[in-house]
Amino acid sequence: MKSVQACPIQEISRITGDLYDLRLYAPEIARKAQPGQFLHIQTGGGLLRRPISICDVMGDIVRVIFAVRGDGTKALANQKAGEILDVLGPLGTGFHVEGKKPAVIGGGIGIFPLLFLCKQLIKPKIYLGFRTKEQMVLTDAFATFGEVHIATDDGSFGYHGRVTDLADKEDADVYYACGPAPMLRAVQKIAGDTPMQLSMEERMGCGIGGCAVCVCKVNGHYEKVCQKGPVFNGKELDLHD
Amino acid sequence: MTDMSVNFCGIQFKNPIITASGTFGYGQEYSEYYDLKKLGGITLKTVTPDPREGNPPHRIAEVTAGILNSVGLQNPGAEQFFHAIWPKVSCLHDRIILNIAGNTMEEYAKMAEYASQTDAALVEVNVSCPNVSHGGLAFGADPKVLENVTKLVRAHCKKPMVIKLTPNVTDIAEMARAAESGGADGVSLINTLLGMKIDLKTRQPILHRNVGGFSGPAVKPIAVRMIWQVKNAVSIPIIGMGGVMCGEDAAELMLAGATLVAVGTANLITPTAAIDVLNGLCSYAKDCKSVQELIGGVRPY
Repeated sequence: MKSVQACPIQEISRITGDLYDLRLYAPEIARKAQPGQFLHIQTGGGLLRRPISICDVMGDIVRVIFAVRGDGTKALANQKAGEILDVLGPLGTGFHVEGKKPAVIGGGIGIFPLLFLCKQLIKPKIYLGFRTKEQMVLTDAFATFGEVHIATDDGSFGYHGRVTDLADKEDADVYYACGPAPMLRAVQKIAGDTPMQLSMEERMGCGIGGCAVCVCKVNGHYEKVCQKGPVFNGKELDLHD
Repeated sequence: MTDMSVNFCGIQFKNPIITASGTFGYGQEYSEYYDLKKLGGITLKTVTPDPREGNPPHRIAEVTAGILNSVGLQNPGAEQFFHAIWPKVSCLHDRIILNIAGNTMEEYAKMAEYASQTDAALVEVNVSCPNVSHGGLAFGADPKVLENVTKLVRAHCKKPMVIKLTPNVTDIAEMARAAESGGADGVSLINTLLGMKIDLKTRQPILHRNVGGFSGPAVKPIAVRMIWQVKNAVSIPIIGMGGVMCGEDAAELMLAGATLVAVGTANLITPTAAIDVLNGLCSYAKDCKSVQELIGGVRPY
């Protein structure tokens, strides 16, 4: 039987701006977690849990990074080390490793699940997009797994422009991406017929496939992001909704 | 030991706690978290004759002490459901409540016939979904129409049937009386209240369909009041639902007049919510000989 986990916070800290790094002691989740899967966390504020992608697994520790967006994530940011969080997970269908020349493209808070993925890839080309130099995070961590290319919207670091423009000439045999919808649409264009796995985000309820609120269009039908996704075959995803 | 069993429409339920339609899928996901057979019964997500895509996202918004949803009865349609899904889920419990809806009177009748051919315990008729343009509320908000649809489904339904009532009416007792005179064996209430949430940054509603069904702990006082009013108006039994988060909440709905209590929104917050509610109700009722003592046991002024 699956169960709700009581996970002590090992460490919680602000990285920069509204981004928080949360490390949970969660041996059972750590054992099962696959890249692209998520945790559904009771934040201590409001009713609904918040789905947050797994950023990394280090032994018995599961790491997530989240941005403070509303009351739920604000409450989560106020939690302290030693406190115990009510967590469901790992949930969802994550990335599966394929191909020999992988390219990984992430934008904004979409980069976090890609770190755990890059750990399992062989020499991925990594493309990361940020708004500004100040918002750049985890770039050193990514660099331990592959060649990192950076784009910023304001040109304050790396390529001035969209990360997908930077990745345009990439000759990969598989694309992995997570980020805002316009970025994912651009990845669909770049990848063309090449296999691509795109991670989606949607407002979520139960997180286990029971309530059918977190849907996106796949092959013309609404599929549950929490169950069939969050990672989908990019060719089947309709992002024009 | 308290006898936790209750009798609803002539059917014995081992305890009063069931799940509410639309919050529990077809039960499979939740069966990975606990043995569903421990509950009194389970209610499956609404099935309609034709497949329904459901509404575009966003379909959920969180509000103070509640949520808004706008799923729009997404389901694979009767054929797919009864051929591919029902055979897999019918073993999850021996007290399954099938929830049905349609776009037209005829479709409700058709669904009642489909449901009659199964070994489901009860049929719940959804005439109160606020998230679809046809069917749903259109049948459940006018007492004459409600009585007619009840009569028609009654004629085609070989199982005990319950009409699910909407709280989006002026007089809930009148609606319950209409269901009773149409031949319903019971009523269930409350479905969700119509609500709305606006994003202050974009000034757009969060829900793509602008409005949606409001549920969760915030609506419980309305559920308690309406169950009590209906209990005083009709003699058919009641499935109570609306904001039940714990055993005490379930007890309160029973005191107001519910025989069975459905757990809904709480399933979205924790997968084991219904079993937690059951355990809480057992504790509350520990000094009763039978949990049935609670039904309608309120002592009003």
